[in-house]
Amino acid sequence: MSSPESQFLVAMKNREQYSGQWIAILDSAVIAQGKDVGEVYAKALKIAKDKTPLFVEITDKNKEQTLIL
Amino acid sequence: MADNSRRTDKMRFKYHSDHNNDDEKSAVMRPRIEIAMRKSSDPVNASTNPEFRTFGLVDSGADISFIPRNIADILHLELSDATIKTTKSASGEFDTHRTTMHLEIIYKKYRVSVGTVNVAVPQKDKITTDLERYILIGRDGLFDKYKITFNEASKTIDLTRIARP
Repeated sequence: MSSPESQFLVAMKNREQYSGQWIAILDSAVIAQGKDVGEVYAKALKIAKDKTPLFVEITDKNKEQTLIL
Repeated sequence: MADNSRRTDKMRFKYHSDHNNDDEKSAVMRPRIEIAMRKSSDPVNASTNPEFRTFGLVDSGADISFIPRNIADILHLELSDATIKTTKSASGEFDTHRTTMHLEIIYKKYRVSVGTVNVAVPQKDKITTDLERYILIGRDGLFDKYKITFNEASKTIDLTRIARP
């Protein structure tokens, strides 16, 4: 398994392409993407078989905001 | 990945940005760590005990953890109406189910079991507040096992396992 950092960099490398979407990363490759995390999860699991992909939501840059939770 | 308690007694994570911003200097860095969640500590089973691996925001202000409804559905968490309680946040009040899930931290190539933690899940399917999008790792189940230090200057978060009595 690639390190979380390297996998996250994969997600951010093409972030414009994935803006506002969930992506599934496996072995430093994006294997599924979409706005519905449930659909992305189902698609990724079919591809990943017994492995566990990393799921990341790439927030739209226009929706960046300060968090006060 | 094997659990290796010596190498995971002290874990350091870098803050990172979670948004799509072309200007790296203005990116907001946050204390998010990689985690894996599933319904129970039993082995992963796509049908009965699926796993979801992602980043969660370590939130010292949250009593318990919090995950979006759609992720709770992926994990097949039990969401009974009998468990609905009001949750208060800075952005207001809303109803959540209270349930439990198994939490693991993924650190380098290791999986570190945190164990069963309490978690709140929004009652409604539709996201109505921005808060409902977030994955928060609250104090319950984690802060009693680790001394957690946020270093905003170096943008790192340290988790040091508290020695067992």
